[in-house]
Amino acid sequence: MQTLKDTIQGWAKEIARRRQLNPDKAGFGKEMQEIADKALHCFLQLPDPMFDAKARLGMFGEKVSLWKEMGSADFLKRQLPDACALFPETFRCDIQSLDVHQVSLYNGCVCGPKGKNLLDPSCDAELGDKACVCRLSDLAENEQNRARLQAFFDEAQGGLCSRQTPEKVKTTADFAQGGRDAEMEQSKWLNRALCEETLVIYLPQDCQLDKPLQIISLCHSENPAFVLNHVWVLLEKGARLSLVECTDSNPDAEVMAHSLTEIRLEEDANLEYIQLQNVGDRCKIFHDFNIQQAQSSVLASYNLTLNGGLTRNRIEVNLNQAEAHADLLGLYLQDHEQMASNQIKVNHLAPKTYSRELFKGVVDDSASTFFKGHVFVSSDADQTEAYQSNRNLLISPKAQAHAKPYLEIYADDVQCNHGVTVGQLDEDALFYMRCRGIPTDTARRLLMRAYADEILKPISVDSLREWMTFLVKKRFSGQLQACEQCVLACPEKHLLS
Amino acid sequence: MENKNSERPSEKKLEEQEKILEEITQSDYEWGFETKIAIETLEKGLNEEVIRQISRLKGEPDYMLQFRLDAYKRWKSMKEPHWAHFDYAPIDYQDIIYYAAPKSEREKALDNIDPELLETFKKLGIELDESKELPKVAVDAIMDSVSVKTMYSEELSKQGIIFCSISEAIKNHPDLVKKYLGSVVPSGDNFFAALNSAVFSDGSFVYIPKGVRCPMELSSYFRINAKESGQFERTLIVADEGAYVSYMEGCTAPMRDKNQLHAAVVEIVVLKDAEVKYSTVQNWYPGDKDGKGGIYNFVTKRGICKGSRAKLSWTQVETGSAITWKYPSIILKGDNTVGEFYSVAITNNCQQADTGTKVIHIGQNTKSTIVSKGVSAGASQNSYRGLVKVMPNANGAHNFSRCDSLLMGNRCGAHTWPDIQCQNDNAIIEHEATTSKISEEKLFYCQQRGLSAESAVSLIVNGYAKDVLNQLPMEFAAEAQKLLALSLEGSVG
Amino acid sequence: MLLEIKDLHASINGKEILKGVNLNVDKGEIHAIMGPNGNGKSTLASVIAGKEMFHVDSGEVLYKGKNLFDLNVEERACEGIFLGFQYPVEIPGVSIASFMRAAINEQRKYKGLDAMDPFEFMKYMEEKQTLVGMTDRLANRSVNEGFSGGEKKKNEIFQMAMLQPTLAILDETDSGLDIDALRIVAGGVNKLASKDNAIVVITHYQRLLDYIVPDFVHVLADGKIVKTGDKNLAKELEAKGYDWIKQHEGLE
Repeated sequence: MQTLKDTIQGWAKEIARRRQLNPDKAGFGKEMQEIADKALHCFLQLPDPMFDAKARLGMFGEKVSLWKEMGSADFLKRQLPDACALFPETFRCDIQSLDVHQVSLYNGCVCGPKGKNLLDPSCDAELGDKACVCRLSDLAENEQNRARLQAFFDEAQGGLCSRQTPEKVKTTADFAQGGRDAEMEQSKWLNRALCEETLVIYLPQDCQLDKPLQIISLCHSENPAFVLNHVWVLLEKGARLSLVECTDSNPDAEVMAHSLTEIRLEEDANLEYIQLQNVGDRCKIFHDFNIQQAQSSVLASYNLTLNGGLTRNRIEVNLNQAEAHADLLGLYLQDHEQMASNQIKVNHLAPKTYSRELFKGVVDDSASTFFKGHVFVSSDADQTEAYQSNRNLLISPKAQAHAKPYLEIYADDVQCNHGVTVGQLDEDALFYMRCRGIPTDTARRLLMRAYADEILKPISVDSLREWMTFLVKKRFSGQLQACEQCVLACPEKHLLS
Repeated sequence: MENKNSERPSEKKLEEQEKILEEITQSDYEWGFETKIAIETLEKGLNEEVIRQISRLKGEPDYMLQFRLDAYKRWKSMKEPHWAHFDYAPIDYQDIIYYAAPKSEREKALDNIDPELLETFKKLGIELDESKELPKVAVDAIMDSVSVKTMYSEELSKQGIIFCSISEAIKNHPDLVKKYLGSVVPSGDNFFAALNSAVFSDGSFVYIPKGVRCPMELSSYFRINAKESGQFERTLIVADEGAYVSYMEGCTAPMRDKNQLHAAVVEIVVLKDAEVKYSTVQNWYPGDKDGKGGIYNFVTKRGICKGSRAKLSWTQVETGSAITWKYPSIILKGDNTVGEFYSVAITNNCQQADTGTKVIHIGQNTKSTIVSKGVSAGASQNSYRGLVKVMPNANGAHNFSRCDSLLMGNRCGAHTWPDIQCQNDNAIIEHEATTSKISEEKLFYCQQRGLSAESAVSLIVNGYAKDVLNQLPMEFAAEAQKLLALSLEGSVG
Repeated sequence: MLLEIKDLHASINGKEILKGVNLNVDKGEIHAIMGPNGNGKSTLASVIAGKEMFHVDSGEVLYKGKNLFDLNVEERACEGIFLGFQYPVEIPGVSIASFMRAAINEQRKYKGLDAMDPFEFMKYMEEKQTLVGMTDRLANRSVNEGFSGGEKKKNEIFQMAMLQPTLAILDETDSGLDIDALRIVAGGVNKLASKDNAIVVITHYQRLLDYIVPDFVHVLADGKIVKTGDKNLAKELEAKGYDWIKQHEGLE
């Protein structure tokens, strides 16, 4: 019988073959394949019971888990998507009035000419004094680039199979429980072993794009498929970027995806990152974020889950140097039998660091949601401020909410708090609105939108905020199937046909 | 780990404050004396024969022996849990004495009790002489494995209240014991509960009959005295329909270099319209400042509000023990039932506490309140761990939780591990927590009004813990306040 | 007759609050309902507005000749019933402007009218703002969120002006107001009173009635209207206190 590991091994071979087959990628860096091989090796070492759904239930009792999902018999029926070469080189998402740079990922493969800087396809891809969006393999061909990417390679190579979590982050109950944090590391192996291409977004020192950058990540398959995405964002000192990553699918897609977004913010860098997930009810998205922040860097991230059968976001933020600042907001709107899980770990490893988590959700029908926040403050991180908040609206008898807001604190000069609420729409407000003639349904929608607005309001780019607000509004009124105008939603405009 | 604050020359004042903190927080454990008294013990170690011996020594009926053996079987197949935020050397369960008792027989008449024993309890502030006791608190005094004296039993029995040691209850009230023992904490509930079910020695039993309001505070006082012995007491409280009782529990142990294990089980059954208030001031020996010695306190406490409108309230002040593993829980099964948990946990030096509560909302319109105040000083670790679960049919359930932590000094840790599960769209759950140090402004304000740093801290901590202290019966409140002050005066960070 | 209340009994959680209220209100009239706290004044207002937590045990309320209880809360609002809340509710995240726009358009829809043009709406709103001296700053804030007591009450009158109700019930609109705010609020109410609408003012004190002069004053005590008179009744009450009424009516 074909086991999970056999399947993964077979896929890895296929991916390696595709990498070599594709003539445009002949120069694919040796390092990249080495990393993939090593990652595969590490992955194959993982103990089998890890993928046993029943065993895992005892170990972690978690409803949503990548390993559990992979351990199910259905997973073996999945296939890798067809080779990328089939997909047209360019693809556009036409959101009116949205003026952005665009780059697309189709089933994990980067769209656009090989060897080119996709921001400005007349230039070659290279790291230098200009912003660059391209494939990592394209960069890796160049000796100079490779030197600059050293940190990335070092981490990928050296640290891959040894635990790289900082020394101080190891006394948590989680670790005693079998190292749930290790899962982040382990899923990285899976991603590196099977992900064909990495999209690099690089902004050199003090660089700032004239408009936001949009990544359109499409999951598209008629058959059950397993898709891997990898995005690497590097902002050098003082660089600024507004980045939107939209994950879409065709409405009846049966895709399971593992996405890894690695973000490195150097000193004073500033990133606004909006992640919009709007996939079909049969899609399962596992998205891991690993964020490293240097001194005085600022991150504002928005995880907006509008639709998806199962969505699991795991965000790890390391505030490595003083005065690093992370604002993590999230909104999840769940109905039918959808599941959303947001797991956020913030490590305060230096003084005067700041983090805020605010995750809000509306849970309807039989949907369920899980939030786990874990703020860790090391003994070096004096004058840390950390705030963590999770708010849930349950609007149907079968909806469920589960929250674990953790604080783990080893420094005394801190201001930390967390709060969780589970409740319903304010009955008094509903009555008040009805008294003014607004029907119950409208009143509820108004209240829900106001509730969601708190998450969207801080988005700094007006057009992006308006667009998000528009999508949320449509979602509440039940009119959102897929992103409007998206090719995947309308069969007649189907690009593949 | 070095405190880097003290390395900054500009912060001399802070250094001074640290010094005060050190001095005060290292004050001696006042209750650490040992009673020289003849004791009889079993050999170290645990096996089926030891359990049979315990049962035989206590002259138990067969049903109890079976209960114990069954629990032992379960225990053998279980593993010690390690999910708590602890770091401690492994416990050798074969290196513990499971039964130790003062040689003198338990006597009803005061004259026959070893005067040394009476003196011991007197030193602990417990007067076992009924003629002297004021205000009236009925005490069940338990030394090592046996109940030494239960006061006012006769007076209480006039109202049908049963207040005696659990050993007596096993013999004299088998129906009640059979019905309720293990009904809230089954013998296989967890590793430590199973161990307790197998070897428990003594403890208190309380039954308040229908409609009776217990006229005085009931109390048990636990004292570990024997060397290398563990203490495994078992308490069972049943409040029948419409009954009310307030119960208090205190405990101390001598200072010993070796860790001693304490694994108790408390079960509470609250029937329709009844109310039980359970208060603890836990002051087991915490070990010395280097973490040597101290009690390992692994306790399972759980109550069930079985009938409508039943109410259960836990209040705990945790200052002692090297390790505290304790989650007094509440099952709100009846409709309109109410559960409360109020806790102050203070850790200092090398103490580790992982404590909190579990509340399960099953009935309709159930209400729970959780207030937890943690204070960590020295190199201690202090965790709140809690579960609030609302089941699908618990319409109108309402929970409010507030868990605050206060840190003093840069070598300790304060952690919060709540778990909130809601399966009902008609429930309201609110959870809040904060972690901070004592505000400099508050300290300054107090000091500017002439208070010393020590009394300012004591004042502020007492204020911080006030919501919890207010829940304690009067007789206990003063002791608790004194304890807080003792462990924390001057801990300026 | 605009509103006819006949032997109305209502309760909350099984506790009877209204014990047979009779009251007639017609267009062009201003009524004041006075009485000690906890005797059912606010309950009466809530029952007319349709708050579900109150249970109507027996009796009848006719509004424009039709059974009021056939209508749900928002239908009553659309039929022109306005309740000025004693404790206006805070709605974070919903601005007063969007709140009012939703309300007006729903009421227009109910009447078979088209939604108001946004530009027209803004103009209309500005006009009504001046009536109660409400600033733009306030109008752009979330409904009642962080408002002072006076601001909340002003906001209620502003909404009344916007919605132009046929029957306005103002529940303790004067409570928590200083004298200047009271003047502004009362001034707004007086401007809005016309021969085509009726206003019922619920108040504990006579003070408000110096500014809003009622045609009728009713005393509600122990769930019933125990005395009805003209504006002088209010003065008498002020002087003699509610105990006087109770003794007078043999309620003690």
